[in-house]
Amino acid sequence: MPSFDDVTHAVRDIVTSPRLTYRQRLHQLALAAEDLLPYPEISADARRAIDEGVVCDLAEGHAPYRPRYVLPDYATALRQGSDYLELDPPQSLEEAVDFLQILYHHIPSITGLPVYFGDLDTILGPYLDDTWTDDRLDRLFTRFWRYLDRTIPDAFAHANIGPDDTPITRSILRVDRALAQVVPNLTLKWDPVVSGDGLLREAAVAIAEVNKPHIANDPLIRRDFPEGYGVVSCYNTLPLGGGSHTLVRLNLHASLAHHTGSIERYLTRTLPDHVELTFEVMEARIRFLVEEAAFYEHSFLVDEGLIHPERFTAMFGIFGVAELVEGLLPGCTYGRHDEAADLARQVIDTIADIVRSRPVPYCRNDRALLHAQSGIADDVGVTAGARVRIGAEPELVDHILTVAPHHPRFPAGISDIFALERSVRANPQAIADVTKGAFARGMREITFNVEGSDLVRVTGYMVRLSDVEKLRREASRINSTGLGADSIENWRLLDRVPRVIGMETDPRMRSLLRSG
Amino acid sequence: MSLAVRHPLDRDGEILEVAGVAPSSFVDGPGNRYVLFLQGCNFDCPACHNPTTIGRCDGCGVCIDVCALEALTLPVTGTVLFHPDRCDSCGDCLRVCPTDADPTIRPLPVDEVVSDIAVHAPFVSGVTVSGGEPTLQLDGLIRLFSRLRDDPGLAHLERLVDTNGSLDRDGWERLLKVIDGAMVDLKAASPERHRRLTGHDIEPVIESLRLLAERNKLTEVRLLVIEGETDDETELLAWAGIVRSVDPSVPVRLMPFRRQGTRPLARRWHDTTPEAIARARTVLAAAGLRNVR
Repeated sequence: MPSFDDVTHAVRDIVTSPRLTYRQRLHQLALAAEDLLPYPEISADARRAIDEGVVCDLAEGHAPYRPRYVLPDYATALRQGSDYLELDPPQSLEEAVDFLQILYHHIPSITGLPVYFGDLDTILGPYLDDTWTDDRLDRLFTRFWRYLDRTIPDAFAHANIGPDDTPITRSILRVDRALAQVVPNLTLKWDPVVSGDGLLREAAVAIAEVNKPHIANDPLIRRDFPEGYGVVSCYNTLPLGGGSHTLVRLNLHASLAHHTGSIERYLTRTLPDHVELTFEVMEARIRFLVEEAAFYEHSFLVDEGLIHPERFTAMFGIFGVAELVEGLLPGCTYGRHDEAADLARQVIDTIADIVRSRPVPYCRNDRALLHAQSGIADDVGVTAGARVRIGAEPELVDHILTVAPHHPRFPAGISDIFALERSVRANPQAIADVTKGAFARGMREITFNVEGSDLVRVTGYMVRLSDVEKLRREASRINSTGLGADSIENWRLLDRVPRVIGMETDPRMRSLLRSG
Repeated sequence: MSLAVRHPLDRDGEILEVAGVAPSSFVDGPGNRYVLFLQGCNFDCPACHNPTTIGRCDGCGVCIDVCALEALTLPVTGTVLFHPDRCDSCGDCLRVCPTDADPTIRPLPVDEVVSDIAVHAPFVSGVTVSGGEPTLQLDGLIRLFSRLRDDPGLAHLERLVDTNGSLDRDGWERLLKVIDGAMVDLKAASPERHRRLTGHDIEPVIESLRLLAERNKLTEVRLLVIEGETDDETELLAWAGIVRSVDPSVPVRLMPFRRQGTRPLARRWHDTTPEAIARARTVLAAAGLRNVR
């Protein structure tokens, strides 16, 4: 329990911080107040695991009173209107957009702002009629996009499009590319049969300019979510009409620091122990949210059928796979040596098998879902999820082939950011080619950062480098800019080696001959 | 003009002398490309970016003495052997080579190349064979492309060569059966300058351009823009005239000259500025070329 003086100091710092806007101060004050409450009851071992950084609750707060991620069924809301909000069902595309703009402000999440704006082309499709030319659509979505970026200023807020290739899908891609905003983050759900090459090509053109959208392998992910899914925040794939109560993650690098003995012993003793401690923290948090805060009993979203408590899961996050396997196999580099990749596979399989079999209360199918957590600003010296270390990346295709085998084990999402050299801007088809190859090899999702753009991807969310620069002097109107600034500095983020360089510009070639 | 040099070990065009591989490239044709760089070139361009791909090792052994790690040995006279496990890529052997060759490469069976392409096939639009001058290893090149064409899993890959255009008509007739297109460098327009910048006559290159355009296989014509050489207006207009007479709508790509990696001969030129590229683009477009990039 912090002393009264500590608390007043902390509150004073928030209230007077020149780097925070009014609303950001308000949000910080709420977090400070929440943390005055005792942590949900956990064992001394679990407490120690948190203190030693083995288990990390991502500073979600001591008293969870809202789920971490909420993915409302917006299609149902549009169809039935809302008694609670005193709104009739919208009758036109413009009314539907107005309706959503109102509803978004009533969707909770860990950030205080919604993380999911819906599968916009799908839910707005029914309102499209002959009067909507491309030009008119672009003007509507330009207004909509400005509204989102200016009133929900948080890069974890995420819109989805696809897999159908509709006039709205195309309009959103055009508008998003032209505006190059941080919000909304954007995912294209792509299906080779339903979406086709034309839509992928259009997305590739946008990526070459603004590093958005992220692309999800729709047929593969859909299999895990019969109720439908959304991609939210930093590449979390979660059930539609539900979401995730919490995200608790296991730091595998820190886990190794508390291990002595053989690899065998790590896999059979240390790792399962640490996995169980992670579950203990997760379970305590879920019980508080459901039983004490009783969120699901007092939400109009539940009453009106926009979310269903039984569609909420919990996310079991892991990170630091690279440091773990390199620690267990001295001299080996994950991404370059097959032994390291094989061991990573064993570690992930061990965790995934436990997560699939261990019941978790109040969760969809009584189970949590495994997630390769893409990192937070404080993760210094630990690599996100199951990614290859920054600076140790192999050639592009080898890189993809290193991480692709892990993807099926992470139903709640796994991401990697592939840095591309700027010459791809003149040849965006290459991005489409690489995406198709990656999906054919079983990757669930793929993200690129093209060198030289102002809008860059941090863990999964976007930040404008010009905003980061400005933040040194003044508060940013976008909540996530500060996190982005810290991450870029702490992770040498912009040092990720751009892959794919032609011999014309650089004779660094992998040689069949030299590999002996 | 064509010098179909064959590796002494290669009796049936089953072996390629490969200088390097780029399994993903964004700058060697449309989409992501698997690029194979073949060793050896019959041109001798002072501006060459990759001069170590020009020569072919004749086994003289000069490099053996500078290799401190003994990664190069000369077990029999005339054959340098490379031991990749001992090499630290210091590059000394490349610097002393009197023929601008690369003693660290070894001949590679076509089948091995095909297997590596198969691994990368899901990720690429096609295969580009560059160099060096790839058509110097014509038999192996045709063998490689035939294998790709006849493999149901690889036949969809677009097959391109990146060439200096020196191949003769008979050679092209054979090669055209197995390629989808060729990207050709036209290094200058005036015969005198072409000779100075490549060491060779321009006529065979123009012949190749015409033949390829006739057969609808001319994918791209490239100009290396060197300020003070190929960027003056008279030269550019003459260059546009040649390309226009071949096909005014052929894609034209302007490449900036870069000093890095070139031989001392090229040090008199400086790196081409984006402004010089833009100026050249304007002149070529005004001269009737419709597709200048």
